[in-house]
Amino acid sequence: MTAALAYVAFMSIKNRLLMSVRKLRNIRYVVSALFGVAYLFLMLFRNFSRGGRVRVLTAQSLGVDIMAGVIFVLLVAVWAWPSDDPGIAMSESEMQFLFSAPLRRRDILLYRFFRSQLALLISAVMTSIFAAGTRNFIGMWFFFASLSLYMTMVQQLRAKLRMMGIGFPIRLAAVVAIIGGACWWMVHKQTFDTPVIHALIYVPRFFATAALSNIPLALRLESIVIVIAIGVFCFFVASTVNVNFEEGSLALSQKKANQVTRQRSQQAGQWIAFKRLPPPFRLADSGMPEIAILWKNLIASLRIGMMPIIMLTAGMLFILGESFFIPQEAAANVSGGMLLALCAIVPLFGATVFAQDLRLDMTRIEYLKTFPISGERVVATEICAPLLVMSIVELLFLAITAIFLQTRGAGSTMARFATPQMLVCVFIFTVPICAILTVMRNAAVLLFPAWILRSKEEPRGFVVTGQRIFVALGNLIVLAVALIPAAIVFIPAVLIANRFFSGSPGFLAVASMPPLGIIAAEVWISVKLLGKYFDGFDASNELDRILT
Amino acid sequence: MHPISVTSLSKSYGDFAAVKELSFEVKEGEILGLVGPNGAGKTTTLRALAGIHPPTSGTIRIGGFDIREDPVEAKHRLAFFPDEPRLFDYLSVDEHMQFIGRLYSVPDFRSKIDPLLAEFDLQDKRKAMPAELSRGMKQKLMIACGFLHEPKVLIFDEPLTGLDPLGIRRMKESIARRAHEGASIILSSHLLHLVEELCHSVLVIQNGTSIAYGGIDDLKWRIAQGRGDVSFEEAFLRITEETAAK
Repeated sequence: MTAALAYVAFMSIKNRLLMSVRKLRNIRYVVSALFGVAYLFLMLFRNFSRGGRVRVLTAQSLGVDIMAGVIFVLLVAVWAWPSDDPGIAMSESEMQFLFSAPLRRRDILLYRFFRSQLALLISAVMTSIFAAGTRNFIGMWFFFASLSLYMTMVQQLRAKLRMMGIGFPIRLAAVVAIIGGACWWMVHKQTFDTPVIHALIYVPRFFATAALSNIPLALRLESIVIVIAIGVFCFFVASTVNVNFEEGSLALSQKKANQVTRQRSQQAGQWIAFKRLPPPFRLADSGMPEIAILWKNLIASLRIGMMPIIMLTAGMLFILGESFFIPQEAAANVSGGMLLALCAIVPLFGATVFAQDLRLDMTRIEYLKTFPISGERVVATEICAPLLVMSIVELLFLAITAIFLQTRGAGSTMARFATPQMLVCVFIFTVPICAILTVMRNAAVLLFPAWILRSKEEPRGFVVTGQRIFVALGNLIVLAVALIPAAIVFIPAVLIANRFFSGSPGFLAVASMPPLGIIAAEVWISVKLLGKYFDGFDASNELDRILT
Repeated sequence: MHPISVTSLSKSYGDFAAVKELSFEVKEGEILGLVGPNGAGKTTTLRALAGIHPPTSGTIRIGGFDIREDPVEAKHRLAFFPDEPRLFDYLSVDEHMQFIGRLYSVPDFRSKIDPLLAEFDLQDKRKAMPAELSRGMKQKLMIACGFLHEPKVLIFDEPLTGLDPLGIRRMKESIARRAHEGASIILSSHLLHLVEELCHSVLVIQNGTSIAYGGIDDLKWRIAQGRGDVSFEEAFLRITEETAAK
């Protein structure tokens, strides 16, 4: 039976790795993997190329003692954890197959242990490289594996204690007494170096010397052997504690699944915070069908994207409010500066925050493709809603800032710099820049759907890191390329406007129109190209894995 | 020309040919049953018909319009009902109906919403969000949305999944009524008794290829070969087993 479970655990790890390798046949995954590997090596190189002599630690070194002390607190504190539920985190399929199979409790715990090893190994490698800057990931791995078995044992024992009438308050009191007593003893003796403290950190020291680098090899190997022995002991204790963990595991699995769903929806800007907010306007009985998509996305913006607007508005109100409690000159410069900084948030982050467009609808791409509207129009109307929201928020913020600077901040340096004309100019440029950024993000979701929409079967680790770096770099490059023609045209436009319209309101219009026209043209061309791509988009190639 | 006309439809995913050289037609008022074992290519065929997946080769005409050349006109005439209803989480039942009404330019759509919601027992759920609906209710809402623009071509992929017995009966009545009113319908299902009860003709596909196409009675007669009457289920099993053996 144990062999069968070990086989399942081994095969699932192997298949996951094989799936990741098979994905590399697709050029997009190769590129992202290369980016990820390059990033990993850069980090490795950075950590290992730090100069200086490496100091070799001994079992008696202060560094070892401090880490052993931290581990001691962790090992004891876990007894004071409020939960006394023995549930073990497992996937739905694992529970479906294993809980109904004729397995002993030990087999299931062993399976879970095997199953977690890949994740623990990756964590050990990452911790060694990024946090500790060492190569001792094997020792770190044994440390993590043994610690996870200890945690499982304590979890089962907490449930057993509850059955014996020892609940959270007693456990907490005992833990506080042990840790508090140890602290008091150290303060009393004014040193860490006492027999009592040494006795308390005797076992944790093995964990520390197994995980830390710069430990002599013989000592480290000895510690690893003892850590393994501790892990085996914990495993046997956990497997002999007679508590029912099946029910708790089901509840835990459901809780985790809900948590993941909520986190995912929040990350992707899909969490419906205000589901009872009414639509922004009544949908007329006739007219352009595209308005229906705009209407739908504006409803989504209200119900999903309202929270950031509320937070930004609260920030603005706070700045305005506090400006009345500080001297006028400081208010003009400090509060005015903060208001301008808030105005900069929309062009900088608006396209990421307000994602109620194709990014929101991508999981329903099949439904979208049945709409009787051309791809170009679908794409154009999809991006209209976030653009409209960003424009309204930016207009409102700039108007409030302008009024503030012309009244409370009148005559200040900030007011002379941020004139109403200048703020109008900022607004005029903000809208097309937000449009370009929104189009870029929608293009990313269409061109790399499996990168943007995550499922649990998706690759993780450095491939995803590479994907994120790739997308971020791509966004930057595309934005730079998109703005270069506008910037080139802007310079002669300003010179010409200055020659013929200097000092008149027409200056701004003449100077800004050519670059604006270029950005607008770029947006239009991008939407047309994306629309064509949408029409020919074959969701079956990548989305089926996510949708099913 | 018939409202649904498919000629030499093929669809491949990389090296894998999911559908090969499929040809069929559906007349006005006809219900065609699309049946086949798991992985036969039914859903791929339906998705291609709905304009979701571009076919690798072949022609699909909906209401006389080529789905690739003139997709907007073709899609105006069809409604596709996937096996898994994917609604907009942030729109209520009523807002879904309004959205579709305006999107398909349905004249006076508001007056048509109430009867449709009543037909599918959803009138009490007008303000409900999809998260508050059961799977069956979501399925009904999806179908109500599809019926709103009175399409001439209806494509169903497993329409009875998740429905309760009353819902199943009403759904069958709704489908039969639409066919009676002149709609051309394709219905894909593993429920062979449903296919036998509702459909006029049937297309059996296996490994992406058509292995039988015609009237249900013709198919049964062909399989029986003078050895008495056979049920459609028996005919289906025999024909798929024979093809697999070849």
